[in-house]
Amino acid sequence: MSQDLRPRPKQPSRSKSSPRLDRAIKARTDPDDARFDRQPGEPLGRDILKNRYVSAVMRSRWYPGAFQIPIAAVFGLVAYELLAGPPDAHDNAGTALMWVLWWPLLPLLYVLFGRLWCAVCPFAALSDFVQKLVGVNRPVPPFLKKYGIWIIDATFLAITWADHVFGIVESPWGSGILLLLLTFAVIVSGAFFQRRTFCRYLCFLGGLSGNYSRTGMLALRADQEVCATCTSKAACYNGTDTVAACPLFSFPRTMDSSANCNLCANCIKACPNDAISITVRKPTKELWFLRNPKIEESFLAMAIMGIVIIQNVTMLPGWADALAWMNRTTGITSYPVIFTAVFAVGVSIPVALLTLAAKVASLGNLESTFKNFARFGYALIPLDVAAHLAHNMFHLLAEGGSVISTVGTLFGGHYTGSAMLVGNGPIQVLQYTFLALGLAGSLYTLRAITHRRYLTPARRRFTMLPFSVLIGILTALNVVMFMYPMAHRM
Amino acid sequence: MPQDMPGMDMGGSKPAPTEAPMPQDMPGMDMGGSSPAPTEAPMPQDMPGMDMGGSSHGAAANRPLAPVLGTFSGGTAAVLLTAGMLRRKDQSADLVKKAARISGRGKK
Repeated sequence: MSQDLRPRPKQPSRSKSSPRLDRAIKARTDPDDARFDRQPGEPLGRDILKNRYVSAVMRSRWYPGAFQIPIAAVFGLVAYELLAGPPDAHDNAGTALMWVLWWPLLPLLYVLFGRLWCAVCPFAALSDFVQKLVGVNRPVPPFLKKYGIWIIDATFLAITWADHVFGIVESPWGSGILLLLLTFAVIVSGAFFQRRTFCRYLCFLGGLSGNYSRTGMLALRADQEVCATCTSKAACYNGTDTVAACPLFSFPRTMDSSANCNLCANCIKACPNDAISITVRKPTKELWFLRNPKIEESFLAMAIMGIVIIQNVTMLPGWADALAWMNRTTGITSYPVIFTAVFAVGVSIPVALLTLAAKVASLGNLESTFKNFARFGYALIPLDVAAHLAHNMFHLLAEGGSVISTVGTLFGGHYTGSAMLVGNGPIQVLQYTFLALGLAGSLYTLRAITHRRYLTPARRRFTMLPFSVLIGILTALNVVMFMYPMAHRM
Repeated sequence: MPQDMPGMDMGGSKPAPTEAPMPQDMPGMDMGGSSPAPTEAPMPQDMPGMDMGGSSHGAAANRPLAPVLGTFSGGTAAVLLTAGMLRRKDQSADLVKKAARISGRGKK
């Protein structure tokens, strides 16, 4: 199979076989393990905190509160409109602001600013308020720490499923109920648990943002050398008398990912040594230096890819025909049953393809399918973000006029223009540009992870081939879907 | 030439209207505001591709705001009250611990 793979030394025979010991010995004898452990971490770029204006904003006592208040006011208006405004989504400013403006812009914000949205999110502000009012500050339950991301995965899938079956997006009332449920969950979490337990372990958007912010262009890190001499008892993590603790339970000294940093600047304000920096980096760079992959995060990346595929499919002109065909073929007339089956298949396709690619790669790189799935699922995140952005650009640009018309009507104005801000041609160009960037980002990330992990060319080759094919298939699938005109929601 | 020859402009004179009977609900024709007779074909409630219960049309008819807000407010109030009581209990337990510690020091 591979001539330049070093032969593995034979293990001494043991009287009793232990899978754990086997694994440990196997790990020690892997020729690339020691080298991988010595690899340097992600190099830091230019520190934007050196800019006095940025520094002044981040260290200000009004940051991020000054942004939270107006955003919370807008969310209040959205909630009011959804629950008590016009019942038709087409006329409802809450629906337009939530699903045509805010939701499509979110992935773009994650790529540009990392998880900054979470710092100004009104739900986070509500959690902090409830905590100050009645907070019991119980520690995070261990099961949430262990299975939180799986709960997020399941919630994300459940909300998408419910959207199609109950029509959440098309129904202001449904969206309003969703907001109320989220608000209640945030209140419960803020009342009983420490810091922002909901945002870190339960928020479905937090899970999405955690994954996407790894491709983000801003990274907050601490100077390890300065931290090694610090005597302030982790003020950056625990907070001080005047500055709150890190809301997302991240310790800057050991932090090597932006997945759980919302740039709230608490650590910047609390650090007595001025050891924190915010650097600008190339999009997706964090993924190139991946150290501790988690299978649940890879699974989430694949689930999101499946969700984007499902969302695209249900907006295609042939969707109604496909439903009618399924109706005729199976005899099932219930839309929820048919959609649930399609949804399960749609979400399973990327997961199954990644499993297959991981299985094939495991034959060549001699690591388990499980490890391959966990590690190389991250290489799909750039394509994931790109496909999501491409899908959302349609909503933003083809339905953006509805934001102007509904909000205008709310304030007594009258907008007679079309809902389409831009024609289909430019939207498709933008969509394909995003997909091309995502393809390039995923292939480069795959190469970077493979080259850092494996020394031998054969292992690299056998790893890159199946995952490159997978990236190609998923890109092609998206390209085909974006060729067709999509149905409008508004 | 007859004065009322159809299709000819007769110098301002109006042609006599033809009195041919025209059905009110002729398909494809605009009947001046009259609505065509609705087809009574049965439509299954769960027809694929159709928005089922919870869609904007369904929601427009039925939005039970008061019960929903009541449940939300009641649940929130219950959570806040429970948390407040637990916090007071924790605080009093802390005070007891502190007092015990101080009294322990005093004895030494």
